[in-house]
Parts: sequence; C-alpha cells; structure tokens
Amino acid sequence: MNLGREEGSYLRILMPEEIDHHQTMGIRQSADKKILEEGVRDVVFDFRKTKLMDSAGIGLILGRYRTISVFGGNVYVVNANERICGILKAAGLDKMIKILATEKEEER
Amino acid sequence: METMKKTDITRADNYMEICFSAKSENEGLARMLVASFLADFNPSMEEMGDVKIAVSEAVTNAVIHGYEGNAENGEEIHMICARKEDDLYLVIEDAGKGMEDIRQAMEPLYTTRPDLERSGMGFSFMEAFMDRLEVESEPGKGTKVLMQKRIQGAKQQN
Repeated sequence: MNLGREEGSYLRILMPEEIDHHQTMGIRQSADKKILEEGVRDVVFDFRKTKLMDSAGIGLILGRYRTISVFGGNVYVVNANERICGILKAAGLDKMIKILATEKEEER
Repeated sequence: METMKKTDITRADNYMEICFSAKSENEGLARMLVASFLADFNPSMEEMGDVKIAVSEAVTNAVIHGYEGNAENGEEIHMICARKEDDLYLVIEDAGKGMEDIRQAMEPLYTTRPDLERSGMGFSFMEAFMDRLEVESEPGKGTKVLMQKRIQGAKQQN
C-alpha cells in the first residue's frame, strides 16, 4: 500500500497485489486520515498492481465514496484489469464511481 | 440442492487438512495454500482467481463474524481441500458464535458489521465463483462452509 503522491487536491491510493479484509483495514485508516485532515477532494484508487480483490475491496471503495461525496468529490478507479472491472460493475459501483481503463482517460 | 456428502471428501483422490489461527493476516495464507493445492488441477487463471476469492470470503467471515476478530485464546479455522477427479471441494469451519438465521446472512447486501465496511457480498461472491455452496451453522457452536467447483482449465486449453 502506498498513500501519498497527492497531486493537487486528489489522493491516489496505490492498491496492493491482493485486496482482502486484512489489507483494507490499513488502507481505510490512512485514507480517511488524509481525506479528513488534508481536505482531499477526489480519491483515485490505482489498481495497476492488483491481481485479486474480494468483497472487502467493494466495501473499501463504497466507504470512501460515502465520505468523499459529502464534500462533493469523486471516486475513480484506474488501471484495473478486466476481471476486477467486471467485479466492480457486478457490484453496481460503476453507477457511483468512475472506472477508467488507463490514467490518460482521467478527466482532469 | 444435492447435499455434499462426507464421502465426497474422505474418498478423495487427493486431500489436505489444515488448521490455522483465526487472524486476518491468515486470509492471504489460506488463499496461498488453496492455490498451491489447486495448481495440480492445471486450472485456468480465471478459475484460480475464482477459488482464491471464495476462500478469502469464507476465511474472512470466520475471522470477523465467527470469532468477532478475537484470536487471543487459540481460536482457529479448520480448512479442508479435496480433489475428486476434476472437482475441488473446500470446507472452511470455525467454532465461533454461529448464526441464528443462515438464509438472512446469505442475502445479498445483508451485513451485521457495517462498522467494518462489510459490503454484505461475501456469500454472494462464494456463490458466484464456485459451483456449489452449503452453509451449516449453529448459534454458539460455529459455522461450516462447504464449496465445490468443477475445474475445467486444462481441458479448455487442449
């Protein structure tokens, strides 16, 4: 996990190779600290390294969406493989967050 | 649904039985162990991913719901992997608090732990990624999750 590399007012979270309940606990804590203390507007989950995600990943993204949307921010998922995109869509997350195949598509 | 019989597992071609501490860091260990057992089936990448996710969900449920995150007193999770021809059988069992209402627990989006940001999709994921799922549970005694999946991988590639 790597938090930081904030550019402008968005927080980029480099997701681990495997996302499970154990991994999400640490990410959630550090992400919320940054969001609340540093007034981050958008959150970008970068899945470039990620090969596996279970339902804990859905909970993590939904949780950040709930926090950030209160402040009018957006949640993005970038660089996720086809399989993870499929899981995110099956869980209905594509209705709330923006799923971008590559970073270049980022609307900023 | 036809019930998975104990003989399906005990008369297996290959078999592995493991006990580990009910700690969240062992979610990854459980996935790795099952992946190693499954490698012998010559599964597709997708099947490997399916099984690892299902294991992750069942073990996480045991850690945070069965034992409520408490592994201080030697609480453990019991896991069996078995192969019979092209079928993989998985049993993941805890001796935790169990469930009153299994049907409700299995409903999509139902969770007793929104504080942990549980999405309520654990059982849905197990159902989606495996061919069969059976859950036995008794309040105060524990929960047993049985899963089966036909592994096609090698055949599809030939």
